[in-house]
Amino acid sequence: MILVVIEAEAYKSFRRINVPPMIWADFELVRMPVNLLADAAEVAANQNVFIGLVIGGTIGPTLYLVAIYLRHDSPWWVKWLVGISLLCVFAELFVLSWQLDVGLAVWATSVGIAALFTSLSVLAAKLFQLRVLRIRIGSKKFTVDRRADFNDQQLREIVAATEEVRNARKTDTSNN
Amino acid sequence: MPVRRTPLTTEGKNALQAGAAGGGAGVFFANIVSDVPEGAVKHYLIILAPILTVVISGLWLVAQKTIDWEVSKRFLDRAKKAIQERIQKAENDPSCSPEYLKELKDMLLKVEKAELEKLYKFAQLE
Repeated sequence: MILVVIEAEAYKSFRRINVPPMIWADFELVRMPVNLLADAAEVAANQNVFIGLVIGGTIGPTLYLVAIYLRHDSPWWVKWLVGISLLCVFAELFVLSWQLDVGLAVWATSVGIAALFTSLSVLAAKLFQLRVLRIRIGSKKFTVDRRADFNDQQLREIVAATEEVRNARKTDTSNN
Repeated sequence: MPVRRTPLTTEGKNALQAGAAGGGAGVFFANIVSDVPEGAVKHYLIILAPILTVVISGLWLVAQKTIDWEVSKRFLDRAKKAIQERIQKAENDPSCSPEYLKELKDMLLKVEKAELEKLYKFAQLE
């Protein structure tokens, strides 16, 4: 979760500043804890769980955050840089797993933890609105962007959509 | 012939995430339990792993719904605040037409009613 928050903050800064070095700084933030944890893994009591946490905990949220990056309208070179940075992180993880001679149990744990952490990232991204969400009220769809202000037309549409939901509910209740 | 895939619905995505979270937590738990010394406790803890998977998946679905409601509620709150700000501005602006002010007040009333009736629970987040 800490990684997700750090990543998200770096992501927000990147969006604000919009300079390429931020991508590297961003992935450096992922790499640093990986290296630190790799040292700690050698002395950990349950190596399977520990290495699984390191590998799974990095791969899941990183993949999800990269997916968020790529869904935005970034220029092609940003997507390439993100892709290369991601490859570096994964290559490092594979080297780490090879050095520590991990077995099938670790990979199973990694996949499980990656799944858990990715789901957590999705929930966190939704709750803290780290990505632009779409909301459907009645038959209308709106974009949820906390940085953008509503204009008069949008406000009218939101109110109309809530009225539509209210009327539909009234009809449902009277039919039942 | 190219295969056209139907995109997953919001419910489908939520179920997938809940399954992934439950499965992940189950694997994690089983791995931790594998370190417990052999005996009855370990036996029961191993049996508990799949139950935990199902329980966490269920709880995950509840958490997702709660977060969806929270985000939808915040969206309506923001709309309400925007209307309130416009009303304040319109009241202090003598050039503003009374029809516009009336429309804004009517909108505010409807949004407040929607909040009271918890209509945000019927909004779908994608």
